[in-house]
Amino acid sequence: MNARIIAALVMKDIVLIFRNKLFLLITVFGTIAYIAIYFVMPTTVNESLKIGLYSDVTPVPPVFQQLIDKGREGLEVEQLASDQALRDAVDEGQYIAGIALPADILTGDDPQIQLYSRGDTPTEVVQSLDYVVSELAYLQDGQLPVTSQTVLGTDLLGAQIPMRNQLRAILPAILIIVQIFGLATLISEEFEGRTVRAVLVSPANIVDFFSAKVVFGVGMAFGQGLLIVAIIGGLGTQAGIAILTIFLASLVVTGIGFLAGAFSKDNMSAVSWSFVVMMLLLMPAMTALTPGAVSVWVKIIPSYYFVDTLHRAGNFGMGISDLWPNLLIMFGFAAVFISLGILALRRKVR
Amino acid sequence: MTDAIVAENLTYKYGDLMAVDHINFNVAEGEIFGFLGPNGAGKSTTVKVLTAQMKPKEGKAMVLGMDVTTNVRAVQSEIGVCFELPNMYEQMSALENLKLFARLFGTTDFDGYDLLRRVDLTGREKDRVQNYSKGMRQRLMVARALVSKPKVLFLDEPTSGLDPTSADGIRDIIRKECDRGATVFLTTHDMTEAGELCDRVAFMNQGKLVALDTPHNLKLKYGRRALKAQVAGKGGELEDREVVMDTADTAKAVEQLFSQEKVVTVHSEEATLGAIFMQITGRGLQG
Ligand SMILES: Nc1ncnc2c1ncn2[C@@H]1O[C@H](COP(=O)(O)OP(=O)(O)O)[C@@H](O)[C@H]1O
Ligand SMILES: [Mg+2]
Repeated sequence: MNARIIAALVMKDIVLIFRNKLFLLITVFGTIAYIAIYFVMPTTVNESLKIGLYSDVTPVPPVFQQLIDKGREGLEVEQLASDQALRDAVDEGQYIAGIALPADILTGDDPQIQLYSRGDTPTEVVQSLDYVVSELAYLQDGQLPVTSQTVLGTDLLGAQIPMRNQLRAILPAILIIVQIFGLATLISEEFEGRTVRAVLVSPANIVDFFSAKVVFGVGMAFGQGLLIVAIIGGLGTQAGIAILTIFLASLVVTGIGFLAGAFSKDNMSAVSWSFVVMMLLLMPAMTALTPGAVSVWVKIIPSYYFVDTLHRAGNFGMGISDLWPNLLIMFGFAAVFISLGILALRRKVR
Repeated sequence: MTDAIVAENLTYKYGDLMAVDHINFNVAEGEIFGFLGPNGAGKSTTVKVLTAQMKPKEGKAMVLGMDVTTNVRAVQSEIGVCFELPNMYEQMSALENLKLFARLFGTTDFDGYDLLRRVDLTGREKDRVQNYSKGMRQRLMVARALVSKPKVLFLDEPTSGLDPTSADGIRDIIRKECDRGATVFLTTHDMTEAGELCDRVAFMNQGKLVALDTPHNLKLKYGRRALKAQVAGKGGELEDREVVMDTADTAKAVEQLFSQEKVVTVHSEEATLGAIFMQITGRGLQG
């Protein structure tokens, strides 16, 4: 390891990456495109919202039974056996919200319908559910019921999360993920142009070469991630966790960039490989904000944890006591991908 | 004087293919050493082993008294290498490429403009290498090898594919580097170049070293000089005559030629290294 040599190699990589037109294009347009996609998203997600329902009267009032049987405007409603089962299921995220019908819904003067949600259930969902339920109850017995909303889960104290704040979690993830493309093409060009040979026959050795690439990859991802988080105000709460998350995410994408670069025999295959990988990583980045829609498979993809951690830390002020499992998982991903990446490149250098 | 480069039983195999087969030679400090042979002879493989890019499978290689397999960084700090194929950062300018390598070597008194002037790239210093012609790239490769004012220069076919003027320019640089005190290890398949430039030449053929001496001694040892003449025949047409020189009968044969025939033209023919190579190996250099 030689600091002067590593510094020279990192500076060279910075010069080269900013001369890569495709990379610049993707960074700029990619960010814009994903912001746009993001704003379109809520409607598409709502179409498959799963709602739980418990009724204290049997049979279930006909209009609600109809809701269970047929759904409504993309609502999928399932019936649960008890009020407690409904609360637990909503709390665990199986349903994005829950409806509990009281025993006196058909007879009482003043029936109270309970709506359960989690702190991270989008406010729009709860609002529209409230409207739907009130309307149905009115149809049933001609009187407007009283609905009361209960937010489950002790952590997410019913905070309303405006769209702009949700971007705090998703934008840095996008920018960090895009670095995979830059790193992969840079590495494949070193091999395709045989420049790695020239560098390794100078006083620079393989450790210097890898160190420089790690410093460059992590530096680019961390620098841009941090910058965007700072600009959009994501460092207001739990700044330490946000910074640690961005750092770990930067390590993960650097490792993945190494792998994509090592498996590419030329620039074109580096472009294709990194696109495939980036698309895969961007999916959970999108779904992490809507817990009702998260399926288990998403949780094996590292980017889920970047977004989830940034979201909970930045928007709910969660601290290390809540987020340590996420951080630990990301640390594991970082260690695995960096090691695999260096191993793959080492083989390629021979 | 100590030896700048020593190869002892140096051997390299690609799988089962014996590319360099137990070769031995020494290169003295300050010497221009020509390493000649046709394509596939094992020249580049030898350069790669001597410059610590690959480990020998057998034998030993020393550069400036250091074993290249155990002193990689120390050896590579003292040498300059011009690779067979261009490997510049294409998106950077010539000047940026040279500056990068000056930084890697920690060279402080580095003048990129002067170096590029020496390889005739004045005015193109800030152009990106991707816009360079093949010849310009090749000259830039030579310039990069000189960045650190290395004690030993390895040049792998630096003039191959160059126009005659550019090739002359490179040969001029090699002489100047030698004057500066550098040792030069030059691979080539251009026998004329080797004859002009090198203090000693080694002939490589199929991984083996088949001859090693000064060009002069090789010519003395293997070369056959001859006197070529054209004489007027009986009908007035020209006929060729040849008198082999350096034999006991030469004087008599020359006398006979001039006394018995009507000599129209006469010239002497020097043995070329190419002819000698052919004589030793039974094959030409362009194969
Ligand atoms: N990377 C390689 N893998 C397998 N064989 C190789 C490789 N490089 C060179 N060779 C073979 O080794 C022999 C010597 O090659 P080389 O040293 O490049 O010769 P030269 O430089 O004299 O033309 C040739 O037969 C060549 O085909
Ligand atoms: Mg060669």
